[in-house]
Amino acid sequence: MTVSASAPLLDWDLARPARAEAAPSQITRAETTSLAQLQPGTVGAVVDVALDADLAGWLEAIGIGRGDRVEVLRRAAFGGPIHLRTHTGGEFAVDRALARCIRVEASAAGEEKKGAA
Amino acid sequence: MSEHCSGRATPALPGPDAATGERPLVLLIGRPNSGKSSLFNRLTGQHAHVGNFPGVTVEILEASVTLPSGLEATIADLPGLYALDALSDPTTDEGVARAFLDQAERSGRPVLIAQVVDGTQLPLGLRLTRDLARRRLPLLLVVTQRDVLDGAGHRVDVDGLRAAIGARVVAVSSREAASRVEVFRAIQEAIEDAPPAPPDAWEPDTLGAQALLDREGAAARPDRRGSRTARLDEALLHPVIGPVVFLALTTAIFAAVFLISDPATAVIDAATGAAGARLTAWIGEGMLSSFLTAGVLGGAGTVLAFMPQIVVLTIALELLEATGYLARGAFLVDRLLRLLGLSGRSFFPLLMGHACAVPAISATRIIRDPRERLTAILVLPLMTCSARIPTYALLLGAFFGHRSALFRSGVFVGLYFAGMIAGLAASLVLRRTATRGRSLPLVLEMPSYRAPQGRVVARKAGRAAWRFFRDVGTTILAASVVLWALLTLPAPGSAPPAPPVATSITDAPAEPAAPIERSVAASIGRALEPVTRPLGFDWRINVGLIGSFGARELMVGTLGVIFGIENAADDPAPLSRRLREARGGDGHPAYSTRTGLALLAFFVIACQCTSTVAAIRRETRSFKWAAFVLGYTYALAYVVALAVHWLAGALGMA
Repeated sequence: MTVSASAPLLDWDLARPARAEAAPSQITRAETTSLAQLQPGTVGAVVDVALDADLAGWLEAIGIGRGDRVEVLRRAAFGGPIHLRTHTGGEFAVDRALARCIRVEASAAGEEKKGAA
Repeated sequence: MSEHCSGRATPALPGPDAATGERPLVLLIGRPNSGKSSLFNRLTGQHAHVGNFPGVTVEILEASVTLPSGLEATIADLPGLYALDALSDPTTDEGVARAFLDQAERSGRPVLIAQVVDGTQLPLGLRLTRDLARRRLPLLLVVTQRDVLDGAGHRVDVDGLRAAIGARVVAVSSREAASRVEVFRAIQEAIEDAPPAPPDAWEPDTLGAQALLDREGAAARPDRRGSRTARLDEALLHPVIGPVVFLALTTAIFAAVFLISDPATAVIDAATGAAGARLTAWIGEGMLSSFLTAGVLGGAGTVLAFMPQIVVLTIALELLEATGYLARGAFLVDRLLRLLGLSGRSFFPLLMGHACAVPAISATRIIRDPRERLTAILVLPLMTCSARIPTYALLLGAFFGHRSALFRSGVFVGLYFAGMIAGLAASLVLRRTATRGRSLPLVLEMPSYRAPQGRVVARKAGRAAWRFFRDVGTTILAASVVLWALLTLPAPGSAPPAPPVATSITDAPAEPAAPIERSVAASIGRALEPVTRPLGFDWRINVGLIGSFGARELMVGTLGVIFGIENAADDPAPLSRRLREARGGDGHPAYSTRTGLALLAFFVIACQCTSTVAAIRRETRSFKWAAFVLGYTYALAYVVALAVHWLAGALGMA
């Protein structure tokens, strides 16, 4: 699972952070990973969404906002979308490139699986 | 709560629908897949019609209903929506729903928001509720899927929700007939007694969890639907089984389109043909009968011939959507389409385009991203639609009737895939040019699998057919009449006034003095000869191209008329002979194998379909993009035909 596959044709502004007050200093690198790297069967808590405010707001509305817990159910082949379940009860397919912009903290249940990856 | 929110208040501004005056407007709002359509169907039955809301171009269904107290209200079914605050393009379903809500809020008309919430996903629905509550309009929560919750040993805490949110709450199951009265009663209460301003001091996730009672109580919690969905996904999204099932399903849909709609289309064709013959016999041959049969009936026949496909496709798509499979298909092919600058959401519109571009262009509304949607609309005319298939077959019969069946089928398969490849290549180019720019990434809801409701699906199919008839039918009819005039009326200055009528020509003379030779179309065809000569097209083929401008399937019939052959479209053999015998000005055969191949290549690319152009104009709400499609497909068709003509020559073909 590498992040650098090929540049996505559908490109959007990744640079504009959703919230200026996001405090990365409180989050140590070791504990967080991108949603794209979460293995199937793992639950993660969203700690940061590095997307423009509109998109981040829309994601929050469906249950992928800061503080929300998501479970990765499966990943499509060849770097396709990620199938996940939000704790609000919805299931969504999320583009892999978008998932790279969402940082999550893998929960205890997922730790051992992450080690195997 | 401001006074205009109450059902009894006088609106300060004129309402959006003057005819219904103060009649309260109930807006059904909810996420896609929340069960909104089923509920609307249950509430309104057959009385729903497309509402007339000024400024709203997307069709919103509405129905007048009588509440238990005798109060009349209008219920409108808004397109699905996830969030109220995040920006979205006003042409997508979500943008339309939001704009409609804004408009209703400003209109001063009494409005009640009835939010449809899937009871099995309460927290998700309540996030939208929180946004809606901030609108300060009277709010009613209709929690659906009560039957599913019952089955799983759950119950919605209606009173608890009501106390927390400050809005009326009713829990129903859309599959039960009794839910109609329950919802009506709740609507009436909400209208008559507008609830106080919501406290807005609740948290969706916590409340959603609290409102689901018996959660801890039920020891064994058989969430049958959830586990069924998980099991089905194991198979349908499996890396190997998934794509196989997907291919099988898409093949089945295709087979259905051809097996069901082709015979139906043949019946319609036969009926319009018989009606034309009857009409000619009745009023006698002449300009009038020619106009009525070729111009009007011909156009009407084209419109009707589209109907079976539109209906079959709409049913197929609705079934896929209603069962929840549509999202799975998008999940499976997203990566592939991403290479072309599209996403999984574009898959089904593009797939439908292989049957007919017209309904496919409407189906692009499921694509959230405006640029991607525009790209899909622009490349859809290139897909090998079902009208191309008989045209290819006829052209192959006419130009290559003397060649082996193997040759013809080889070319046929090549043509089929050429359309797909051209479409995908065009998409790649367009995403880097005309529709360049950032796009929304794919976030697609994967709803639980459920059994579709036949009545809902049937109604949607009926409505799609009617919409096509109304919006696109008029354009096709107008184009048919214009083309009739071009092909029949003599060009100014062309000597003896022609006895008209394509249909009156018998197949006797080798070079008949057909009136079409003196028509406006013929003059245009001759004027175009210098341009089309490099492709091997003479004025006669040019006239055929003019005739097929409205609909590509008219090409063979028009060529038949030029060469004085009746019913060439039913039996291309005589036309094939005539084409081979045809001589150019220098006495050499007018048409070579290269000409035939170049012509077929032209047909693969050119958007010879007034219906498609009309549909594009309707969906993009601009003549610009419709003209763009005509311009780019014809220019590309010319270049490709030229390349094929040259390449065939280089390969030593005559």
